[in-house]
Amino acid sequence: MTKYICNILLGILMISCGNTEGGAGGGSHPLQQEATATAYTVRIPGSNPEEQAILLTQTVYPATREDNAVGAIILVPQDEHIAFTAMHRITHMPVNAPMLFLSEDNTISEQTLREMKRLKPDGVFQDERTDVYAVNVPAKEVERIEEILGYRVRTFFEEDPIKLASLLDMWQAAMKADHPDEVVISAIDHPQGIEHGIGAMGWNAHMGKGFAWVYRDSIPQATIDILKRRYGDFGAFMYLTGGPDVISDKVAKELGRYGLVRRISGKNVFASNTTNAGYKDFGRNWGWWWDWIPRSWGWGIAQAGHNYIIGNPDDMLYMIPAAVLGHMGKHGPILLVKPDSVPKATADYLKMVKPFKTGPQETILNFAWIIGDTTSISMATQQSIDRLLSPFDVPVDTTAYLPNAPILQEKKD
Amino acid sequence: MKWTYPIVAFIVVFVLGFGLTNLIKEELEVSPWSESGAEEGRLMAHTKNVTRLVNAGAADLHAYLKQTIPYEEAKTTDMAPSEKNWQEFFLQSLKVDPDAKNIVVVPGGGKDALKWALPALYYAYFNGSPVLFYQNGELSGNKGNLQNKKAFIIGSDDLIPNLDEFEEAERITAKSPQQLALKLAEYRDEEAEFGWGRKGDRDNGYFHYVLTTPDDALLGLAALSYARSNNATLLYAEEDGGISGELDRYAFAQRSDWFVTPSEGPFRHFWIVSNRVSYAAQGRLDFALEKAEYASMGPVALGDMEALMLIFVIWGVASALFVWIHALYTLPMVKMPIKISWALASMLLPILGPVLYINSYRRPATEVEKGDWRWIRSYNQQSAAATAMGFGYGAPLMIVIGFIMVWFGFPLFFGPGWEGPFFWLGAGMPIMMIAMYVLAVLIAWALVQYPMKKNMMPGMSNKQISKMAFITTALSMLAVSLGMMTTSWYMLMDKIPMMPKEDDVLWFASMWLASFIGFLIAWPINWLFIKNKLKPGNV
Repeated sequence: MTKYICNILLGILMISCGNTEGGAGGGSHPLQQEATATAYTVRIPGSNPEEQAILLTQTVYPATREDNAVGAIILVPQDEHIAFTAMHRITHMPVNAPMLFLSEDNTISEQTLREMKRLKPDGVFQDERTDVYAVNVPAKEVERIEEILGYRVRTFFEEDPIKLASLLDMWQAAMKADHPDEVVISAIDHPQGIEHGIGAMGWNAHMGKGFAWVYRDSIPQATIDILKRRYGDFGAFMYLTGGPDVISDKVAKELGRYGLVRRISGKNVFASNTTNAGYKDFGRNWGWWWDWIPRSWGWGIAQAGHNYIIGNPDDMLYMIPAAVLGHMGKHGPILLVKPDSVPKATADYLKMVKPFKTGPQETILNFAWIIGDTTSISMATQQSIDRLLSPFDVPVDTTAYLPNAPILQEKKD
Repeated sequence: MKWTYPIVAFIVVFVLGFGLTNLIKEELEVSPWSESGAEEGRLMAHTKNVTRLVNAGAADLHAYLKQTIPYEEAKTTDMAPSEKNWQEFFLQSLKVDPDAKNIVVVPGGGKDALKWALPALYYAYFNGSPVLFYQNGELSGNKGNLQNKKAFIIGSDDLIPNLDEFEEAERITAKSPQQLALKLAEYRDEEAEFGWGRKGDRDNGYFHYVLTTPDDALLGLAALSYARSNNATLLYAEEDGGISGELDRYAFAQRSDWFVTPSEGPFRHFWIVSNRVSYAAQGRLDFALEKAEYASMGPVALGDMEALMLIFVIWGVASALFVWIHALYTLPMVKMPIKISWALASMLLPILGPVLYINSYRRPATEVEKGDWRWIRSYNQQSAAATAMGFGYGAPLMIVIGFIMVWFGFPLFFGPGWEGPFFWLGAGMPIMMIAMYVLAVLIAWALVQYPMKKNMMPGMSNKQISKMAFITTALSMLAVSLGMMTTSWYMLMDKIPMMPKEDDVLWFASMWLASFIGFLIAWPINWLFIKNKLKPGNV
C-alpha cells in the first residue's frame, strides 16, 4: 500500500514539474522581424506606448513559472507625469511590477488585458497580495480587471502628480516600514523635466528610492511633506535632475532646509543622462552606536561590462516603462540618443566604458536595449551604438559599416 | 483536555509541513506554465537573457549576421554554409593565429560529422587555432606550421579514431554532441590555451552562448561570428526542443550573483538560432541566467548562505524526529504533552534541543505520585527544561502564524492619518510580529499552558490557574520574542537584500534561526520563573 501511495505521489510530483519540451519555439511573432539584434544590442520595437509596454513585459517576464512572472502590474493612463511618478515608486522589489498603459480613450485594450492575464502576478505579500496597482484608472476598468482576471487591485487616484508622489511615498514607507532618505527631485513645469530625470527614474526603478516634484522656481507643499518625513542624520539627500535652467538655484537653496542637495545635470538631456549613468553618491546617512546605514545613490558606472537602455527623448512614454529593463535581467542605466545619430555626450560616455579584447574566461562585454521602432531610433543609430559598445575600434565614419537595415526572413513553418 | 496538545502539534506539523513541501515542489518545477498561456500573444521572441534569431535557414541567418555583425574581426566568408560546403565555409572563415598553441582535429564529411565538430570549431574560430578534418583515414585542412602545437582530437569514436601523427595530442569525446559541447564549455588546458574554461566557479566572465540542436548544427555554423564578436560558446539543446538535465545544471551554474546592486557585472546571455528550441526551454534558460543576490542565489539555485541555513533547518527536523522517537520508546514515565514539547522545541533547536533533552532525563528521578515523575536537575537545567516547555509550543506557533500571514499577505495601513513617528506600525512586518505574539500567546495559553497547569496543580482554582498560565505564557513568550523578533527583523528586513517569500528557504531558515536566538534569550529569563516557583522545571 505504502508503495502505491509513494508511486502516486511521485507521479503527481513529476507531472506537476513540467518539462522544457513543447512546440517549436520559433513561433509566429508579429514584431519579430522588427526586433533586430546586433552583436551587442537588441531592439524592442514598439510603435506606440501601449505596444511598447507589452513588448517590455514580454521581454522581461517569460512567465513560464511563478519565479519569472511578475509580482504585480502597474496600470496607468498614457500620461507622462503620472507614469513617470508611478514608475519611480512602484516597480522595485518587493513589488516587482512592470508598467502597462491604458488606451488613449482610458480603457484597457484587449491586447493589454491578455498580457495582464499572461503575466499571472504572484501578488505582493507585503501589501495584501495585491496583483495590480491601478494609478488613475477609471473605476469601471478596475472592475473589469477584478471580474475578468480575478486580480486583487489597489487603486491610487490622484490627478496631481505632485500629490501622487506624496501618496506613493506614504504607501511605500508603510510597506517597507521606512522612508528612503535619498530623494530624486524633478521639475514638473519644465518642458524637459522628465527627459532630464529619466535616467534617475531608472535608478529608482532599480533600487526603490524616493521621488518628489518641484516647480522650476518653487517647492510645492506636498514635496515639503515628503522631505519632512526623512529621518536621516541630515534629513533627506536630494538629487535634482537638471541644471539651474531646469530647477532654479533658488529652489535648490530652499531645498537645503530639508537636507543635502546635489545636482545630476548636463548641458542637455543627453548629457544629464550620461552624468546620471556615471554618478555615484555614497557616504554618511544614519548611525546609532552599533549599526550604521550609508546613503548610496546612483549607478556609478565608468567602466566596461554593463547594460544600457537606450531611447529617444521624444518618446518618454516608451522610455518610462522601459526602466523595467533596469529592474531585471542585465539591469543598467538609461541613455538617450537622437533618431539618426548618437549625440556627443552619449558617444563620449560609451567610449569611456568601451570593453577590450580578453580571453575566454575573463570576457568583458557591454549590452544595450534599443527602445522603439526604427522611427524612434534608426537602424544606422542602432549600429553606431553597437560599434560603440563593442570591443572593436570605432572608425571615423561609422556609416561605412552599415549597408541596409537587416531583416530576417519569415520563418518557414 | 489531553486532546489539546496533539491538536496544537498537528497544526504546527501540518502548516510547516505544507510550507516546506510547497517550497520543495516549487523548486523542482521546471516550466509549469509554459503550456498554459505563457507564450500567448507574444509579439516577439526575445527575452531579457535570451535572444532568439528566428530564421528561414542557414543561408538566411548567415546573411542576417553578415549585416548585423559587420566587424572585420568577426567576419565569416561570404558564401552561405550548407551541409556540402561546411568544411570549406569554416576554413575560409577561420583566421589562423600563427602563434596559436593548439591544433583542433575534428571529423569531416557529412551532417553527422558537423554535429560533433561544431562545438570545437567555435573555439578554434575564437582562438585562431588551425583545424584539421579527419575523413576516410585522411586529414585535410590547415596543414601548415603544426610544429610545437598540441593537438586536440575531438569527436565520437565512430567518426574519428585516436591519431598518432602529432607530437602531443589529447583526446576529447563524449556520449553525444550535447555532452561534448558541455565538456568543451568547461574544459581548459591553460598551457595549450585550449577550451573555454567556463566552469560554475568562474564568477567574473560575461559568457555568451549560441544554442542550437544537433540536427540544426548548420544554423550554429551560420552563427559562427558570435564566437569572435561575443566570445560565444556553442551548446546544444535536445532534438525535441527541450534542454537536458546537464544543460540545465550548467545554465544554473552560470547564474551570476551580485553583492551591492544587480547592475554590477557580469551577466550571461544565450543566442538561440534553432527554431526547434521550445519556449519552455527558452523560459528556463532565461530564468537560469537571471542574476541573484549572493545570499540565496535566487529561486531553484542554492546560495552559500541558503545552503548553510538549509543545513540548520534539516538538522532541526532530524533533531525533532530523534527526540520524538527516543522519548516515545524510552521514556514511558514522561507525559505526552512534555514529549511533544521537547520534540517541537528540538525542531527549532538543532543539536542543542537533543542535548538539553538528554541532559534533562539522564539523571535520577523520583515518582512523587503514581505515574507522576520528577527529575533532579540543577536550576540551570530546570530553566532550560522550563523554557523548552513553553518554547516548544509557542515558537512553532509563532512561525505558523507568520507563515499564514505571509501566504495570504500582510495588511497595510497608510495615509495622512498614519503619518508621524509611528507610521511604521501600519507596515506588514510589525503587524505580523504583533499578530505572531498575540495569537501564539492566546493559543498556547488556552490549549497548552492552562490544561498543563490545571493537571499539575489540582488544588488551585480555575481562575487562578488561568491567570497564572496567562502571565507565565505571556512573559515567557515575550522573552522568546525579544530574540526571535529582533533576529527575524534583522534577517528579513536588513541582512537579506530581497525579503524572502513563503516559498523561499531563507524565510523558513530565518525563522528557525530567530527562534534559536529567542530560546537563548528566554533561557536565563526562565531562570527567574524557576527561582520564584512560577514554572516547574523538573518534569
